[in-house]
Amino acid sequence: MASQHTMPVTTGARTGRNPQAPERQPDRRDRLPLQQDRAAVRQRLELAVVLAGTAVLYLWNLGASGWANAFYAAAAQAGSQDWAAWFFGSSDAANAITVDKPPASLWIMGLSVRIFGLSSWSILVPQALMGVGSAWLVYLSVRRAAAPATGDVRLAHRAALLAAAVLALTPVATLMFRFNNPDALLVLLMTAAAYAVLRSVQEDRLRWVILAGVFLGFGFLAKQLQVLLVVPGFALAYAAAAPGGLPRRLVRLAYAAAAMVVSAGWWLLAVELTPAGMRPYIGGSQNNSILELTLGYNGVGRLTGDETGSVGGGNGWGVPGLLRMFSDEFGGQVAWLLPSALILAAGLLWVGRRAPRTDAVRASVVVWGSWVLVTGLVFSFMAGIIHPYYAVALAPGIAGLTGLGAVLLWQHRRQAAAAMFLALAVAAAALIAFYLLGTTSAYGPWLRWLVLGGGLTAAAGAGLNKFLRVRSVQRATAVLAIVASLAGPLAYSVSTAAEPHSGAIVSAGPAPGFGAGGRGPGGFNAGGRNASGRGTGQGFTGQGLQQATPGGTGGSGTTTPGGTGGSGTTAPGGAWISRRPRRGHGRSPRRTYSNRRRCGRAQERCIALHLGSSRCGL
Amino acid sequence: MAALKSGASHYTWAAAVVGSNNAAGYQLATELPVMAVGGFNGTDPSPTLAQFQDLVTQGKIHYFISGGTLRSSSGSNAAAQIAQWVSENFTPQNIGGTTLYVLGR
Repeated sequence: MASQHTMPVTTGARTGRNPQAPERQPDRRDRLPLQQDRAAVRQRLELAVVLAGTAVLYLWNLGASGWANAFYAAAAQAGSQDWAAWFFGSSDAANAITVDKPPASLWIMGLSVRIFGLSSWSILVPQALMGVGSAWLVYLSVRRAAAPATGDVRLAHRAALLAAAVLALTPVATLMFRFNNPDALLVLLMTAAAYAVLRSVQEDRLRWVILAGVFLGFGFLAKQLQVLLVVPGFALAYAAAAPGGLPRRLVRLAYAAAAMVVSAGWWLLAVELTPAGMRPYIGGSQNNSILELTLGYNGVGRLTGDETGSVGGGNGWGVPGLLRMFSDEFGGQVAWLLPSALILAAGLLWVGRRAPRTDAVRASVVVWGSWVLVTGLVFSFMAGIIHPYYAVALAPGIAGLTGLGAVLLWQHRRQAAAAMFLALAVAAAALIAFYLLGTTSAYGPWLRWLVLGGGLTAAAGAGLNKFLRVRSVQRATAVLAIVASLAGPLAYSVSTAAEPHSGAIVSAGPAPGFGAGGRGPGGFNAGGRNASGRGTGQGFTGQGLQQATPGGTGGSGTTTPGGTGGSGTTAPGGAWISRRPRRGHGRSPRRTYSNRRRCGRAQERCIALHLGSSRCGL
Repeated sequence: MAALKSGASHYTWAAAVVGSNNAAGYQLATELPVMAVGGFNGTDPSPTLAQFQDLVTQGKIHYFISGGTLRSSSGSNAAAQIAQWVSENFTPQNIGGTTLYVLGR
């Protein structure tokens, strides 16, 4: 097997990588500047359509949720009336007591209420826009990593679009970006940090390393220690894959850590240094201490279940265990593509195992994969307060892995391993969707069977693509795989958007009346979940699927007509592996900069314009 | 609600009620500060009974609204003490199904 793909790989290295290669066949799409621009314009339009669709999903009928979580809505109102209340995150404008979180997300809502007046919309629209922003950042992160790896900007664009669509359609993301908990800002900031880390791996600019730390620090001010779950993985990715020697990388990591500490610490210090009589009581603590809140109630207490003053407790938060994310409570929120994302991540690591140390794809897998694994495992095993909506923190990781993995493995599908990982991922998505859709009666039985049939067919098509070389069949396989994998989450997301959500504890998916039992721990009234998710779902479904499709892995578009799959400008091996021989030198900063000068544009824009020609340092 | 709003400018807090979610509802309806006694779960020791009594003496709180539910077995019982003190020293009024105590003058 190894020898089978070594040959084209080496050829690819010669043809695809040599700047002066006379044998480089200009693709139809990149011959004329006008056509290049047209391709770039088209990609922007497709991105705009996906982001606009996300905005509609997150903004539609938002007013129906009323105050959503009145606890935070009231604090936003307080912050709009009084700057001290705004700064400390007080529940009331007279500064009696704060919410049991730091105030970063209230800063934004409070400003919005101050500017636009108190209403559902002034509180919830910023949250929805954070969702659109997160999808956009996932798009940028994935496209940036996939561009050099695929050697084809259009493919990279599709991988990124798929990732953005996966994030947008994760039901719990639809829930939380239509809600006013701090989770929306936390997800936005963690995604921004992931983007900054990946960019610093590719660009070797101190600025982005520092910014990653700043984003994480402010993530702490959104929801305290939860942000730390992604930090080890981000640091590992940077330490392993960034350019330069190890000592230099470690020093830069220390800068990032310092930036993180300063970004979070200034506020903690301000609170600690303000005499207790001049500030509100720190809600959620027993001793009026922000440190106690951080380390106890919202810290270690969450892991051990030892949280003084909490409601429930004991086993009131469901049974911790490896399968918690697939339980009735959590499954419909986030589990749809969770195993598939991990399978695709494994596939990326395997297929790219010979890539150089600085490979952006491997760095991406470490960033997104560690994010999903660490956060997912902590959520699975923590004994303290946990709610199903926390799972929104997993969504960008799943999205990044899915977009990158699906498209890159599809590009390399001629390799048996890549085809196998793809087939497994698609089959896993189909089986889980079949199971999850079986827990509700909201959509009728046909949907789960269609998803199962379509998904398994697509999985077989991906696994056996060697024997199905007809281009239209390959294309149909890719489209079917995407449609089948996203249909379930899409249905749940539309149901989520169609219902008003309010109260302290909310969950995504069709209304409980449809039999997705086990929602939310007892003792709290989720409240307000009365509308049916049916009916209105229909028109949306068609629209959403169309948006998702252009983001698809229709990688066979690179084939020359009548070709055997994936032989366009680059050999089937693609630039990812074939670039290896020269990459060790090629990634040095000096080379990047010199190429940037030659191109005269930022590298990313350059790639978009020149489709991976040597002028961009590809 | 009209009762909460009337004369609110004379008070720092239009009302006090146990638990942040209860307070939030009144605060969003009136856009006036409503004290969440005991914080989110009603189990934080803020304010203490003595602090609350001081604030009442200073005339800073207009109403106490009963009905905050205490769900936790752990944490402070300051909120419960306050509720008890109010019910023993003030006269309840029933306005629209809600029990109010007038603390202010």
